[in-house]
Amino acid sequence: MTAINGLILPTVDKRPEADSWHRKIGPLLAVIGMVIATATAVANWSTIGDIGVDDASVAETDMWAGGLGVAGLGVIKVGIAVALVGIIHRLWGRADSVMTTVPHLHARPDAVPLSRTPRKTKVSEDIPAPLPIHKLATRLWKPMLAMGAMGVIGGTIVRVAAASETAGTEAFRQATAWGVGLEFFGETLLLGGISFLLGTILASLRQAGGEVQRAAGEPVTVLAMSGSANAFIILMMVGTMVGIAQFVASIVLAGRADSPTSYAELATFVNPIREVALGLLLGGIVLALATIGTVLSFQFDRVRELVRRNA
Amino acid sequence: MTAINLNSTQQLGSRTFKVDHATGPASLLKPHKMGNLLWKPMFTMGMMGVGVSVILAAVRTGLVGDADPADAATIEQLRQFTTGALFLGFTGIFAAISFAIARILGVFRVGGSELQADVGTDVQTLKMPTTAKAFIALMMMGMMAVAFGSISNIVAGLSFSEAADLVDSQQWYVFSAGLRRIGVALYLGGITLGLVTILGVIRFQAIRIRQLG
Repeated sequence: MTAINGLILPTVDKRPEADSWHRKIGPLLAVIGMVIATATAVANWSTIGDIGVDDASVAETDMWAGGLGVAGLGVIKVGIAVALVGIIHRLWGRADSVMTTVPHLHARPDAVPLSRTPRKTKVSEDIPAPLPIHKLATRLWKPMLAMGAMGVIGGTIVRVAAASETAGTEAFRQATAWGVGLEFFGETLLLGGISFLLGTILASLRQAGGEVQRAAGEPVTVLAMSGSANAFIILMMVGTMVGIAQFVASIVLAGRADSPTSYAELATFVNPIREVALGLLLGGIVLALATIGTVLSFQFDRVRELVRRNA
Repeated sequence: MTAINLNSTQQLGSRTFKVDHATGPASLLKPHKMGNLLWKPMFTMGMMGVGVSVILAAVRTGLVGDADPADAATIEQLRQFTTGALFLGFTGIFAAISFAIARILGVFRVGGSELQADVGTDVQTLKMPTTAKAFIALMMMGMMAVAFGSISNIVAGLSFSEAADLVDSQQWYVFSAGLRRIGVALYLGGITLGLVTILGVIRFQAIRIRQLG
């Protein structure tokens, strides 16, 4: 395997018999996250009767319960990332199986004809070099996930610690701005890491597909970058930038904590914008998954084509 | 797809795979067809919801900046509408992610079976694994929770339009926020299981391809 493979997975056990810990840890993290999110929602619900009676207590509960709730969702996202890493491992194992087997396969003379959807392709003698986004994705998914987890943990600690402050005070507003801003910055980075993992899957498919074709002695045909792949990159970049902008705005917000009116005005806009950043990143993830589906479909057709050549 | 034996199993490492056998290529199951059909409209709906919420947030910011006590009810209404639109958008986006995963699973099922049919061997496809069933169940529960939470925001925004309704409106807001959080957690949990299903399918295909050789 060539450089990019080493970059993605230096030591992968490609045997399909080998068990994968990702299959167990991913769902386990998801369950833990779901329990945390549900418990904190119940904590928030328990304050509904105090609204209008003891608003300070409601805000203080929301401070720690909201913080832990976001952390719970972060834990599930880490579970998703673990499952994606497992998929990358398995994809290389599958590519290895295809490479070993395809030269020995022969299509039946009466095999159903291929009805491939017409797509833009690139043909070359050798495996095409990884695209810049592939290089970026393979290098950055780990640091993004690590920084994201740190952001979420840091923000949660700030919010839980600040829950003991009296609601409505400058210190409480300041801690809210820092805690929520940091947590959502962490969430942005976690989703960025997941996006880069999906980019790494696309890089692996391209590389492994090329290696299969080269091993079969055929010209290497790969899909040209599709519209959905381009849109994925745009949404991911915009989402990340909005996520960073909300964090900067949160720092500004913390600086305005001494003026309740000015603080409220900025917070009104920043609060939904935090979620918008996540929405954009999630939109990018939809397009990345759609692109993976398209690439897989193309690769299945290509493998069938190779098998037909053997006939 | 012509089924021969519906109860066969394949032992692979520590895992046992339940498989269907056939003589021809497999067709898509209902969730795969829905995935193919719905990921785009859900994605579009989701992004529209997110866009609308940005506009509403900007309008609300203007009113908060004016600091006119007469706008208190309108500001609260806009809070409900902004959150409602945003999370209806999230409902669409999370559904689109789930449908895109279902689409990938469909590609694996059809592609793998076509390759086996081409070489004239017994066509084996995985029976729907438990993780896939749980994926669908969690996704549906998540969708209902987030959608209900978002719609309750919009209903609250429409219902509580007077300054005297502020406490009622805030109580609804806290209720729907909890519901939405649980819904998002269920959605994300479902997505994790969808990806774990893909993991199992790839593993099964890797060994099946080796068996063909």
